[in-house]
Amino acid sequence: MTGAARSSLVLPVGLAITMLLAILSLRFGLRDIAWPEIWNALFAFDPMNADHITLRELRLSRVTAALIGGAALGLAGALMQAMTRNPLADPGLLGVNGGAAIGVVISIWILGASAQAALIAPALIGAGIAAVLVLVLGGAAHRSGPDPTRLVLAGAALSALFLALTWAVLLMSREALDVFRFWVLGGFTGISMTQVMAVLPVYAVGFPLAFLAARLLSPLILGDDAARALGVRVWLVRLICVGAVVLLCGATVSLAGPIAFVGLLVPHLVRPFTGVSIPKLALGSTILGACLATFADLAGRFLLPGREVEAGVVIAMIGGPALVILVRRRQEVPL
Amino acid sequence: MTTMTLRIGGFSTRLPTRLVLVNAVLVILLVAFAGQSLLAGTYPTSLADLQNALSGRADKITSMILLDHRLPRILTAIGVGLAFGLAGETIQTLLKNPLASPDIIGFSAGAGTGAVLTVVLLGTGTFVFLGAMLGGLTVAALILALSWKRGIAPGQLVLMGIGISLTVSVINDLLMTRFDVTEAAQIAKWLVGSLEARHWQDVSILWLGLACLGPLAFWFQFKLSRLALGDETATVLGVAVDPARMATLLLAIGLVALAVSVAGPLPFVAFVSGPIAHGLTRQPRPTLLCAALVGALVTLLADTASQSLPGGLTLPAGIFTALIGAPVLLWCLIVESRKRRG
Amino acid sequence: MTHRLLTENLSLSYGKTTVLDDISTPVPSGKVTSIVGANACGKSTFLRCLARLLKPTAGQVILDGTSIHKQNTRDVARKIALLPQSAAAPDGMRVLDLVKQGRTPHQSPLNQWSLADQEIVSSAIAKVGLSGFEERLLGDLSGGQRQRAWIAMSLAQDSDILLLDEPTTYLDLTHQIEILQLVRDLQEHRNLTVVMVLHDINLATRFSDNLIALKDQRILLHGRPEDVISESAIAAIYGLQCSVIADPHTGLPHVIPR
Repeated sequence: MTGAARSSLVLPVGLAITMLLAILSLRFGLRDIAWPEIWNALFAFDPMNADHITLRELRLSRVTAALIGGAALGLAGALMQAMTRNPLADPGLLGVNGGAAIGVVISIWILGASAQAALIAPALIGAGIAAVLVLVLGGAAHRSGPDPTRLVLAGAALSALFLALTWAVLLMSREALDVFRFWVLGGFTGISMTQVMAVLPVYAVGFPLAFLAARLLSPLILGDDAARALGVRVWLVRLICVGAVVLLCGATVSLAGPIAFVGLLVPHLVRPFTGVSIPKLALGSTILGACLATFADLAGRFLLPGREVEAGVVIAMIGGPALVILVRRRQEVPL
Repeated sequence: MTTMTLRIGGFSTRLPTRLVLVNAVLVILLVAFAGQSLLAGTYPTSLADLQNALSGRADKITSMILLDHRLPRILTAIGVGLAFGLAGETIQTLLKNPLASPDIIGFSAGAGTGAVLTVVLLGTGTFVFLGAMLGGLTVAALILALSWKRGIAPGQLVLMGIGISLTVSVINDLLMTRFDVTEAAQIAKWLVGSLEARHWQDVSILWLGLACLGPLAFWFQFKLSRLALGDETATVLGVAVDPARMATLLLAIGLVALAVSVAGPLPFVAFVSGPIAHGLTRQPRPTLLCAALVGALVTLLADTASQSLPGGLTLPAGIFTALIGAPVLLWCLIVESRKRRG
Repeated sequence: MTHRLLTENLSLSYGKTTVLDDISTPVPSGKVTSIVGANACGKSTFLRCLARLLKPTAGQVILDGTSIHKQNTRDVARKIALLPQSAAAPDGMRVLDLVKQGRTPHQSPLNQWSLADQEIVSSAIAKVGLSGFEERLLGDLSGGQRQRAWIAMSLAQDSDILLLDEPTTYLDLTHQIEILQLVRDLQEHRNLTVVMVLHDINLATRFSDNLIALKDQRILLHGRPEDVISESAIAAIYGLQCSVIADPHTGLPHVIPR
């Protein structure tokens, strides 16, 4: 099969698999729900039926969160790697996860919050503040926009700073440590529709902005000067790109905790099918990200008897070996 | 830019003046802070007390505080910092990526798992250091073995390392949820890295290791700086690329193993030393000595800070290495970009 | 006459793609040899095999009677220098820092800046016309100056065999002539063996004793420029219709595309 044929097939196939996984996620879990009941729960809801309540209150919101969250992380990863021209760039490098973590920890420590729902706002605020700081220090105010290397270094530095502060709080407050050690695993369990709705506006801005950024980024592959010669406003493109990544990741980390690997791994898995085209890479990464997160969420229900394994853990267990195989099969990657 | 040339018998070298000055200033700062940290504190002592203690004429408490408490701790801090600085600079130069650091070869994450598992399996914290060393070496060996393809390919090594480190650190997170919260707090303290209660035993292991590995690191700086020109150019210049790369990597792993097993991961020291040294000296990398000195200074300052919190609060030094290192790195970034754009 | 450097049945392929196919040729000692040919005919690959940067799939490169891959890489580096086509230097490197790397095969970690090193490095810098630029950052130089700094590094290596992969890239006409004249002078002065890959057939003719023309992974022609260059030869090498006239200054053949 030719490369073109492969790349045109891979998107619909990926989408189909993702949808199938999403439907299976509605069906199976600690409590299996029969197919007709799924249909009824959606279209002929009976508030007295336990299956219907489980599906509407728990499963549906959880699957939605996994789909959107995974898609957001995959897309953000593709943008980050394309923009920084660094295959190691992970959205977490913008300090979003670190910022969210410190937000969570401080809100537990000072405000005594412990319910997952109460952690969304502080996580989002922390992520936002961190992202703005990274942007300013990364040179976003400059004529040519944020310099990718400097941005990544600034992100790494600030992440470490936030991580240190987080640990400082954790070592002073047992309560914070107790909540945080579960939050940090990352997963979609117990997310309610209200929570999804709370962050939906952020996604609603983030996704269109990200796809716009993917289109705009294409000329930048050739280097800043070549792009400028083509009439591209490089600083604006970079700013849009970073803004989109921050919105997508900030929303996801506040919803589901820090989920590693999706942003790093997914673009590498997609690239053999899409080639260098950034819009295609972005679209492919969105679909595969959603697919991976949904699969991890589903698989986590069966791995251990009587206990769910968090999606973040499952993704790490798949991601590590997948990356090993990927790297070993490939020629030397240029850095 | 002026330079100094040094030729004694068969020894010759060329040193940019700025490099010499920066290193001299760093050494002076290091000695000053070490002295300050030795004499000041909740139990203030004077230089005369130190002299008395060294000659065995001081009272028991003064002598204990100075010689058994503060001195080993300071020497540990300096030694660990030197080791992290050397390892960080070596790995970042070798892999030509500012994001690369010993964390990338999986050592810190592996050491964490080793430590946590020791506590889980043995039920005691006594052998944490041994477990950390074993865990770190295992993961590093795994990453090296998996990225081996007729030699070490830097790009593959970095990706492989990041991947495996991420997985291993999620395992750490998962293990943390298996303890009751008090135990978890103890382990967390170790995972951050601390210099509390170091004995002469730690000091002697550390400095003995440094005495073996340090000179080797400087010996390999010659080849390392050629590798920085790219594999082809290095080969043309007569450097056998694969063996040199393998040797420097193993050396860096050895240095990190040494430091981690004595003090825990101490995040950020290895990562930040090289870029700070580069920013200060404005020399092409590697500048091993300068990076090592920066590492020592950051660690010593962090340890001093961790002991001088208000309200009798103590936090492990690992918190402060990042709190000190990160702003300095950011400052270097800002200065460098001003210079470049201005 | 014996040749210090030669290839025996040299073949190289990447997977199924053959890049060099059974090439056996001497490299004339004490002469300038240029490798010419169309794009992707294996010119650079051949040169990189000579410098032991690529390991042949079959056959071997012989240096002073032994296969080059069996020799100590440092010993080879004292005999063969190569100017790579596109090399990048690390940030913050200055001209002098780069050029002194050329002394590597003659140095040890303890003996990094002997008097001989210092003299050879400054004479190499002077030869490429970069005196006074020693402390300039490479990143601040023009493309041509940077290229000359790299050439100076190869000269500082002080080897008898000098391989140059498109040394005139990034250079304007004046500097192209200057660099090639410099290579010629050095060759005559120190009796160097020079092998270079050149794109410009007229410059190759003018500055070489020997031409090796590659076509379809094999040697098509090998000999003195005045013997090799003809209208039919150019048509065979490049697939280009041209006239060949005598250069009014040198009398050597000069190719004018139609």
